[in-house]
Amino acid sequence: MLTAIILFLFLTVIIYDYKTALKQAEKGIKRIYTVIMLISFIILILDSLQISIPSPNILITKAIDALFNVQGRG
Amino acid sequence: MAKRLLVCLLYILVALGLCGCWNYRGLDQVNIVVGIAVDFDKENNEYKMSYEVADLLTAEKRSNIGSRIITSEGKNLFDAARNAKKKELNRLYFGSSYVLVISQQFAEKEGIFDAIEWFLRDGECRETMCVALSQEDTAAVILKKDEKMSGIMSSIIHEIITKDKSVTASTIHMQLYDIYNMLKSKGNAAILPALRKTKNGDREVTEANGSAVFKGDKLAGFLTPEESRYVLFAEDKLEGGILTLDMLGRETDDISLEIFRSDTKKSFSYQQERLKVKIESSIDVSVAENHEELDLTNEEVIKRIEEAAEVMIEEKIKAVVAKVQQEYQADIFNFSDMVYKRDLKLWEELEPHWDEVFSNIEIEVSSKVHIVNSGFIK
Amino acid sequence: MKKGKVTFNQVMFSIVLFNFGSSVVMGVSTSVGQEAWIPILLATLAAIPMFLIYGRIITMFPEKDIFDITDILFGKICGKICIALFTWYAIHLCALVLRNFSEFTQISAMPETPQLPIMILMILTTIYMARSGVRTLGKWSIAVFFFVVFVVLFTFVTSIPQAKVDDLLPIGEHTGAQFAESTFQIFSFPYAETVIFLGLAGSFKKNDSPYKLFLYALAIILVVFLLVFFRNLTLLGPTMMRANYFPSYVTARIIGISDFLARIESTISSNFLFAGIVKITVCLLVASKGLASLFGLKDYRILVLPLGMFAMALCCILYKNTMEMFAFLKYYPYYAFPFQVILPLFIWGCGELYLRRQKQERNI
Repeated sequence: MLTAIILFLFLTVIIYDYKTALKQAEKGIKRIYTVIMLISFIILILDSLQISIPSPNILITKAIDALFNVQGRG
Repeated sequence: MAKRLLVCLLYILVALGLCGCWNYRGLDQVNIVVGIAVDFDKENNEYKMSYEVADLLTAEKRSNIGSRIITSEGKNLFDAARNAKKKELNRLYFGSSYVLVISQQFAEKEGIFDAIEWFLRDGECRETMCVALSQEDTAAVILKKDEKMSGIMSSIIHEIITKDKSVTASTIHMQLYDIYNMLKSKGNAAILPALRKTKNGDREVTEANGSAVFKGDKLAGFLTPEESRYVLFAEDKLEGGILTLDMLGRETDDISLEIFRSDTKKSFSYQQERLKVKIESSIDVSVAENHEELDLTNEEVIKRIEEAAEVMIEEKIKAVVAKVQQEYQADIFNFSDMVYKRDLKLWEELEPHWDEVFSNIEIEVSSKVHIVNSGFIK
Repeated sequence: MKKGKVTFNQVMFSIVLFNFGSSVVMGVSTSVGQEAWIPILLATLAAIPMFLIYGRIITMFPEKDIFDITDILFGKICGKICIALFTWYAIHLCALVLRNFSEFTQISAMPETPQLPIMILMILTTIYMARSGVRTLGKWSIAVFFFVVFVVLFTFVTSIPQAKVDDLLPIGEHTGAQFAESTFQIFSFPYAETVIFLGLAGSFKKNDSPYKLFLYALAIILVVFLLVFFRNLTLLGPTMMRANYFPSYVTARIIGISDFLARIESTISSNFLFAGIVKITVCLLVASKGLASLFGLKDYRILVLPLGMFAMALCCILYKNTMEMFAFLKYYPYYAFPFQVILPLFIWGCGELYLRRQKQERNI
C-alpha cells in the first residue's frame, strides 16, 4: 500500500513538474533535481519495504555523547 | 479550457482523498462504550472487563437509547479490551465513556495505578472520565441495570457523582487525571467515590455510598457518606448539601440547614517537632426545615443554631481526620502537598518519615456558620 | 513591490508562528515542572542578544541573504561550506518538524493510519506554499496569526475556572544546573531556530529595522509561551504536565465549561497545523535558496519540490518511534548550537571586520 502511494506520488509530481516548470529550466537545475528526487525516492521505497536505513540522528547523538556525555546526565 | 477541466478534476480527486480517514469506521461499525468496569479474576489470574455499550440499533423513536453489557477477559487491560472483539461484530470505542468502575478486590490486590495509567496512556479515553470504586463483589454489577429501567446506567452514575458535591455532598468526584495527580503527588494517597447496589422501591439501583480511601494505590478502607461530607469540607470541595441538627434534644434531628457557599482554608505550623494543621471553614446556609418551637425571627435562636452547627462541623471534621490518620494513615487531605508547596525546606525534612508525621498531626478546626435566610416562611 | 518583498508585520508574524511551530503543542520544556516559567524568562533574556546579532547581520548587509553574505565574506570555498552547513540544518529542521507533526497526528487522532500519508499531505501543502514565494507565506502568517493567538487566549480564559493556582508552588525546588539545562533547551528550541530567517533576509524591506522586528516578535512569543505554560500547569498539575508528550492537547481535552463547551482539543491541533505549516515552509524555502546558491543557480523555486521530497524521506528514517523523538530533544540543543550561535557569531565578527576595512579603503 505505502509503496504504491509513493510510486503514485512521485509519478504525478514528476509529470506535473516536467510539463510546467522543468521545461525551461537550466541544465544544472535539472541535474540536481534528478539526483535529489532519486535519493529521496530510493530512501522512501526502501523504508516502505521495511528495509531499515540508518538515521542521521544516530550519528549526531553519538557524536554529542562523545563530546558532552548527555546520556549519562539523564 | 482543458486546463480548467484538469483543475476541476484535481479538485475532485483531492476532495475524495480528504473526506475519509485511512481507517474509516461508520457509526454502525463501532460499539460506543459509555462505562467500563474492571475486575480481577483470582482463579484464572485474568483481568475481566465489562463495558456498557450504548445500543443504537434497538433505539426506537419513542424510547430512550438503551444499553447492553459486554464482557471480556485478558492477561492485562489492553488484552482484555481487545478480546471483546472475539465476541462482538464491532470494535469498542472508548472515546465517550463516562465512568470507570474498579472492583474492591482489584483495588486491594493489584492497586489502581496501572489501570489509571493505561486509560490515560491510551488516547481514546478522556482524561475527564469519572472514576469510582465498587463495594459489591464485582465491579460489573454496578453497571448492570434493572430490567424495568431504561436509559444508560453509566450516564446515571456519572450524573450522581458529578452533581453530588452540590446536592447531597456525600461522596467525592474524581476524574481520571485527578487520581493520577493525587497518586503521583507527595501524599501518595487517593480517595474515590464508592458505589453499591440498593433497593429503591422494587427496582435495584446503584447508589453512591461514601468514599473509598487509598493508601498508595491500594484500598485501605471506606468512609461513610456523612464522613465523606466532612472530607469535602476539609478539602474545600463542598458546594452544597444539607446539615441536620438536633436543637431540642429529641431523637430525630429537627433542623436542616442547606449549604449555599462553603469556603475552607488550610494552614499549618511547625513547632517543637510537631506539625499542626489548622482548618478554617466558613459556610453560608439557609434554614430549610424547622421545628415550630424555634422562632427564627429571634436573633438569639439564630445565634444558637449557628453555634450548634459550628460545634458539630468542628467535631465531625476532627473525627474524620482522626479516623483517616489513625486507621488508614493515608494522606487524602493532601497535607503533604500543602507543606511541600508552602515550605519546601520543612517538607524535605519531614519527607523520609512522613507516614509517622501524618498520623501525629495535631488538627485544629474552626468553623463559621452564617445563616443567610430561612426560605419562604418566618 | 518588486521581487517579492514582505512587509514588517508579515515577517514579524511569520517569526512568531515559526516559533510556535512545534512548541505550542509539544509544550515548552517542562523538565522543571512548576518552575518552568523561570527558564522561559531566562531563555528569552538569552535570546535577546542573539536576536540582536541576527538583526545586526541583516543591517550590515541589507537586502542580502545569509548565503550572499557568506559568499562576500569568506570567498568561494569557505562560503560554500557555510552555505552547505546552513542548508543541511534547514532541511534537517524541516524533517524534524514534519516528524513532530505526523507523530502528533498519529498519537492524538489516527493511531492506525501510517504516518506517510499524513506527511505527504503536509509536505505537498508546504511545497505549494514555498513555491508561491515569500509573500504568500507572509500573507498566510497574518491570516493565521490572529486565529492562533485567539485560540491560546480562549483556552486560557476558559481554563481559569478549573485552574489550581496553588500548583505554581513551591519555588526553589530545582537546582541551578536543572534550570540551566532547561533554559538551554528553550533557548535552542524554539527561540534560536529563528536563525533560519537569515536565509530569507533578502526579502525583508530595507527600511524595516530588523532589531525591532526580532524583538517585537520575541515579546509576543514570550507572552504566549507564558500563557500556555500557566494554562497547562494550573489545569494539569506539574506531574501530569511532565508525564505528557503533548500537554497543551491534553489540557484542551480537560477544559470544559459545563457540558456545552467541551472537547475543544481540535483547536489546539489546528494551531499546530497552522503554525507548523509556516515553520516547514520557511525551512523549505531557506533550504532551497541555500541549495540554489550552493550550485550558483538563479531560480530556487524549482528545487523546492525535490527538497520537500528529500525532507520527507529524511523524516521517515529519522526515528523509529515517538520515544526516540523525545529523547532526541535532549541532544538537539548541542547539535543546533553551532548553527544557531557559532555560525552567526562568526559571520557577525567577520562582517564587522569587513565593513571596517571597507571604510578604511574608502578613506584612503
